[in-house]
Amino acid sequence: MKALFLTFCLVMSGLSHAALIQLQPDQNEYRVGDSIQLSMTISGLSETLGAFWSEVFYQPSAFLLQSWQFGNGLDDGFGSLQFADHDAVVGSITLDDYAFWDADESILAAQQGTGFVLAQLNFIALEAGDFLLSFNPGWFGVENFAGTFIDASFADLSLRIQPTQVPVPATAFLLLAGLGLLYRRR
Amino acid sequence: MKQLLALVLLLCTFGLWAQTPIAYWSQNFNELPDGSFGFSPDTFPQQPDIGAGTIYLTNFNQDTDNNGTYITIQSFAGSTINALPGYIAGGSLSVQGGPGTSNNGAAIVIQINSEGYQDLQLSWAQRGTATGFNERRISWSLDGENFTEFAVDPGALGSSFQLRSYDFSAVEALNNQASVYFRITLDGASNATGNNRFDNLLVTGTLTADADRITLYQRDFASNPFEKGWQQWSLQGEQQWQWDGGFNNVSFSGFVDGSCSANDSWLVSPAFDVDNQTGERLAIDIARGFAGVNNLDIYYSTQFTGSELNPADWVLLTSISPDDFSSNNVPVRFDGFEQLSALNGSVHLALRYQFDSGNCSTWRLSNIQLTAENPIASETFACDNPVTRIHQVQGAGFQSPLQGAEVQLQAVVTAVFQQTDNGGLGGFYLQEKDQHRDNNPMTSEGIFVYDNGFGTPVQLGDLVRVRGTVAEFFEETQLSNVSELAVCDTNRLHLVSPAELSLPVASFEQLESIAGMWVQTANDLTVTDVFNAVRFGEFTVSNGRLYNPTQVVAPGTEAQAVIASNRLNRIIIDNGLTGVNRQPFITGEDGINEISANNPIRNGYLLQAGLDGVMSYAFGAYRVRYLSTPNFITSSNPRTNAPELVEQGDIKVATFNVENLFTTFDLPGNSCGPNALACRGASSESELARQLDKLVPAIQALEADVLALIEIENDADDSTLEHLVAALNAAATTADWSYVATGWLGTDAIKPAFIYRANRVSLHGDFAVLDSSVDPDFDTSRQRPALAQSFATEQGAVFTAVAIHLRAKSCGSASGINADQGDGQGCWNNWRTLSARALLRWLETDPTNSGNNDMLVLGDFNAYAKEDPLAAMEAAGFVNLAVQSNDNDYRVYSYTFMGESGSLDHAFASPSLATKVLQAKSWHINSDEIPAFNYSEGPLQGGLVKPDNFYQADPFRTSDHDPLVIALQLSSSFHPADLNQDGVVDQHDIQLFQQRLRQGGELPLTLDFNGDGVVNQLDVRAMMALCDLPRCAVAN
Repeated sequence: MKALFLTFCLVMSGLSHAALIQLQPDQNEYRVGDSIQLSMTISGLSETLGAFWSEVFYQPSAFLLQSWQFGNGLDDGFGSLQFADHDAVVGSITLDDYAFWDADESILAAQQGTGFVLAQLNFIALEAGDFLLSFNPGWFGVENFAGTFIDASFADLSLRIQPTQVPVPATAFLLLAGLGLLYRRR
Repeated sequence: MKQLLALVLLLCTFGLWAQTPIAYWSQNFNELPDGSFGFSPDTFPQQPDIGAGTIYLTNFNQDTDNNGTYITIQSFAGSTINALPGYIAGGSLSVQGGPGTSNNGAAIVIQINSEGYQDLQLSWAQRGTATGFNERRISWSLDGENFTEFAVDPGALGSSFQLRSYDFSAVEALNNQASVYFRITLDGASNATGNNRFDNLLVTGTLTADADRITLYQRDFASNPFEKGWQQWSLQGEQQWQWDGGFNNVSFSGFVDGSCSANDSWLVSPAFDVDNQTGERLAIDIARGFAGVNNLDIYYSTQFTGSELNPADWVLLTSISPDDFSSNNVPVRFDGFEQLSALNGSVHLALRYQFDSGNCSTWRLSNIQLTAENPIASETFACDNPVTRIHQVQGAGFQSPLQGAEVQLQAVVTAVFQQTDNGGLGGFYLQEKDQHRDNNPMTSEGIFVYDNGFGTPVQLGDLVRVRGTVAEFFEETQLSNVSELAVCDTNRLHLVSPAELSLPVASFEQLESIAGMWVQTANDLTVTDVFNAVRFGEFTVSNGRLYNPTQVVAPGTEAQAVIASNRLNRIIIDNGLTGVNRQPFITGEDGINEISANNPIRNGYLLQAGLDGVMSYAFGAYRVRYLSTPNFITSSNPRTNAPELVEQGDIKVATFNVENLFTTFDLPGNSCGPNALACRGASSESELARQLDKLVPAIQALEADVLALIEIENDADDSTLEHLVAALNAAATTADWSYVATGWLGTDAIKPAFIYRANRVSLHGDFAVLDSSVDPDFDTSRQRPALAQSFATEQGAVFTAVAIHLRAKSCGSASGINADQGDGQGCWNNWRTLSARALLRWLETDPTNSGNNDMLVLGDFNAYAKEDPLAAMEAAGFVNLAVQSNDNDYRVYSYTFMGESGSLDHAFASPSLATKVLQAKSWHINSDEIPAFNYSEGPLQGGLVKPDNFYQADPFRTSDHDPLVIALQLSSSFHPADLNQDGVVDQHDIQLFQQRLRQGGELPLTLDFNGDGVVNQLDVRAMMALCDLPRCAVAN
């Protein structure tokens, strides 16, 4: 792979779970300075989601979190209760979204289907290297509209950021030309 | 008896013991003709109770009273220390200073016949008074005239008996003599009645004929045999073999509740390897406790594996009949049994108690010894000559199979403690090179060499060759009587490896298998006992905090199981100094400096993994003598400035046993309470000031509105409460503390009491008292009355608080149903249980005429959470609040005893009040702290002046109990979801709750909004349903 190596790493196997929450990047390749849009999605739903809570860790030296938005899968048109807490020093973002009890479940079910976008995170890549964006297992979970836990797992995301492409300096061309002349004289 | 080979009384059969009694004076039979106890001219020469010899006195005041009794020679109470089996404490030979200290220079002379004996030893138990003789000179003689001084025992004797033992084996002139004299010359008494008491005077020796025999195994049952490889198997019946550490025996009685029950119970010994030596002989001391119809059968087996007991695997060695004894409780020696020497492999012995019907016997085993010919060949002492390996010396069991053998070892020094003064151990540890291990995990490769100032210093890593005698020193295998020692090489430490130590262990065999070895702790371990951190330079660690069994499980079988598992989950960490108050003191939490009040070691700290030390056994416990500095992780249980309550409520009530707050000083001539009992608190103005300088900030930090105080001086005018309240008001910004004036309560020197903040609550009616006159079951002859007082809040809510302090567990005169039943509840459990039931009956009468049912019973119940008195409270619907606040987990504590934590201090709410309790929690300022950090100005236990930096005017170690705080919400407008208490439930409250959930830690069940019994994320949406406005909107 020339510029970007991207891989999803399933830290906790989701094979036995009905629902999976993961982070999905918007591009295949990123370089330092690029914008990175990650969608936190849930898939494999077989019932209406009532709430989710999550905390994602990232390396603050490698990523600048610029903004985030919640999805509308828990909003019946009259809002949901959303909490976000960002710590740029540690490199963590907590995203919780709770549907109200009196929300119209049929609207939520239609919006959710078997999966939807829970939230979106917008980063700027600051540093080249391989990095892991990981969920905090201690603050992770989903519940159904009736208020009981849904069996769910999460998948962390490994991102490789390439260095910025830099123009080859003129001195290098001069050096190559000199070497070519030497070769021809022989 | 069919197969008994020998039966002779102890007097006649000293044949097998390495050290055999030659003469023994118990001093238990000093009754004079008039019935009193003492001595007269007819007493001397005094004949021994066992063996032959005499004791007489010389150069002493021979004045007698009218009855002809010596006035300066008494028979004060004796001791069981150094007593031979079957002899009680009884009396003693007590020599007083005499008028004009005329007995200075008096002497006790002991004469014996040592023919046939060598290696004589003289021992006794002694105690004294401060003005008694402060010097005892020990000398010996062969003619009773010309004495040679042997040792001087200087110093006044303390008030508890201690063992004195002198080894004369180096004085070969004493061997095999018709007459040998030992003399104890007394001097330095400063008062006529000052005295020294001597008890259980004993002369022992080795039978010359058996001098070269070794001991494979010897146990006198001074320590618990069931922790040292002994086991019992019950094939029928419920009775058990019982170890009695007081009388050093294991006994079995089938007599229970007035009748005999059928039993078939086997007491099985550890395995003995009979292949490594020849000529094995067994000696066993048995006493008949009661003569019944059933014999005691002794078996052996080479088939027993330890996993199952099948009688067919056992061969009868002998059957002992009750008729073989002339009296009860006096041991008889049965010995010989040379058929054991013909066996191969591992042999177990077993004592079988089998009874069906009739009168049942009681049997006691008090001594067992297995000896053999010495298998060690002599060897020239030179580096690299053949040696005995340490694993051969250690053997696979709890004792060396080569006791008494002279051996040569050559191994690497792993620890050096050669200092012989100031608590030095006087020796070093050796460990076999890894290449020389025997690969048997049950045999240790290390050993302590007691060189006792031999004179050759060794260094860590030296390869040392040493010649000495294998011995069990208080059950630690060691090499003693070092006669040759050479350093063969240096810097060899890399050739040995440490053993890994992790807890809990599966059995004590696991610890024994590394005894003497270099060890390294594998995991972080929890400090569970700091009681002896100052006095003995040691603390105990475990894998996690240990709880008192009846704190967490029901008394009886379950408690016994926890007792057993706790024992396998602790080890002492020791600074390698023996004796009392040795300095430097053990290192505190900073890992650099000695402990002090601001550099403590607290229970609950974690001892970081990787501590290096040597595994040792001393003073009845396995211990790691550390070689690297202990590092602590203090964040696991840090000191906190105040109780960490998540909920505050609108009223807080607390209970605090303050460990004797007295304003009448503990001085001679002072008395306290209505019965003029001894005072128990401070002994000076200065000490009282120090006590209050700790107590006042502690009470302030509780932020309680009502405080139930336990162990307050029971004074008629409440001057102690007045003094405390004045101190609190002087320190508080709002000087509103007051107290409930009761005057004398009950019969004790202490009483329960209430203080309260008058700006926050007011007294609602008069106090009421529960004592024996109200209900005889609440027996206040040896227990404080219960004190009830109703309080009213500013908002008009009324509740009744009841301060209680039930009878303590210490046994004293406990008997019958109040004796320790062995179920984990200690003594006086029945007393406490009856009291609890009486209390419940009393509360039903609304003793303060409060008019409502909101009652809070709090104080020191002297019972752990699962014990009967508290079970009675729970059965009546009262709720243990600290447990409820801990998610109904009983692992809470307010007190620590012998390394086990538990709550003696509780708060119980009546059913109606329980719904108004937000949280209850102990503040661990005392139970986890080192006792020497208390307010006392007196010397440390052991006599050392207390260092100034052991005291700090802060709440830590204010008392020996932790206070317990209860947050109540009595106001009816309270809504548990209104977390910010702004009167409305909205999304701000939801966010607060979400933040608390993320922070972790305990949350009260009042936040269990979905009612599923736990507080978790599912409660967030359930809480949203409680919002006052749609969609949890925030009102403008």
